[in-house]
Amino acid sequence: MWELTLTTMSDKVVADDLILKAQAGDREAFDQLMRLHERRVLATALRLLNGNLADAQDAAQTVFLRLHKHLPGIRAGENLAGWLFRVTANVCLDELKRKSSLVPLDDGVNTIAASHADPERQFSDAERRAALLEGLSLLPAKERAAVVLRDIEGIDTEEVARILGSSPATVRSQLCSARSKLRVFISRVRRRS
Amino acid sequence: MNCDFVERWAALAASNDLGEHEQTELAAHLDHCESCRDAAAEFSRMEADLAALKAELVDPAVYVAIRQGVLDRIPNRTNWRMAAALGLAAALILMTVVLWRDRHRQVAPPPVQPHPLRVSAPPPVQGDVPVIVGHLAKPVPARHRGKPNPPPERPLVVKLLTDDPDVVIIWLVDKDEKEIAR
Repeated sequence: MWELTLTTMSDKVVADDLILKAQAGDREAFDQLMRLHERRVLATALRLLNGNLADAQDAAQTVFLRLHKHLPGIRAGENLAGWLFRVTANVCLDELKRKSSLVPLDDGVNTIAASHADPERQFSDAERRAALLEGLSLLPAKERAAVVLRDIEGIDTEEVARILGSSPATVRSQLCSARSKLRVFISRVRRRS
Repeated sequence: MNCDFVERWAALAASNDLGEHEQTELAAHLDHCESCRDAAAEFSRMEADLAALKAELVDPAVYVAIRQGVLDRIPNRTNWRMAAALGLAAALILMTVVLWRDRHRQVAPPPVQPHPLRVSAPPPVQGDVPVIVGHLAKPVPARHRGKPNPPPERPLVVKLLTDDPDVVIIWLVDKDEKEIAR
């Protein structure tokens, strides 16, 4: 079971209790429910939306508003975290489509590499991290979603497939392609720095 | 084994997404291929870097803003309940006032105009023949009856013929032989 699932029984009981209270119209319980899931929702939205915090905030609000709307249909014991990841991914992918901001990674490699043209500089951890985020933002949306959910959030491949509405084989293929592209991108940036 | 193919496996091996057989073959290849070993090491490093992104913290104020934004946009059921309770209370008060006024009117009803008592005068006697007219009770139609009423008591009619054929004396007498009319 992936690590984001509420692990202990008491946590699960508390979460179920919060859902029941929120379903009865308890705003405080709904606030607690948001606190319980806000980090993963915002972090996922932030990575899927290329690190744009304002867009990620809007996406997170949309996700929680949808959660509130669908509260009556959510049963106690249901995998709420999985449901939230699915909605977050859908909201973010829709937003990306709306903005039509997808840039193929191959087009972005040369542009980004040009900004790291000082051969004397060391390729520090911070630069490596920056290059990783840059490369991530240049991946196709589906591949980026797979990497964010699998590699950053640590969700297992089968669950990622459920969240993205595809098969585990497709997710593995997307992960393989995305990681290879990222490795090539980071290597080029490092060589030029 | 083709190194390009191995790179695909190495990409998946970093997150343990390879089957047991593929892992064995990959390990065998990496033993004698330095470039693929380097690639596998880079994938592992990248996995660690990506996992570290999870731990990055966001300013807590951002979370507060998100929650507040959501709570501001969802309907407040407490307010609805309060509004419903106030509406109900107002309706009860209005109904109480109306009923109180209605009852107050019933305690002091407007004065009723008395109807004058009509007394019918006996019919005038015409000519020499005294005719005494009696009214029999009109029978009630069957559809208007609830229980069958006892038949109305008809007054006993006594006719007395005189020598003069134009003079007939009629008595109406009730069951107690009390004279009603002559």
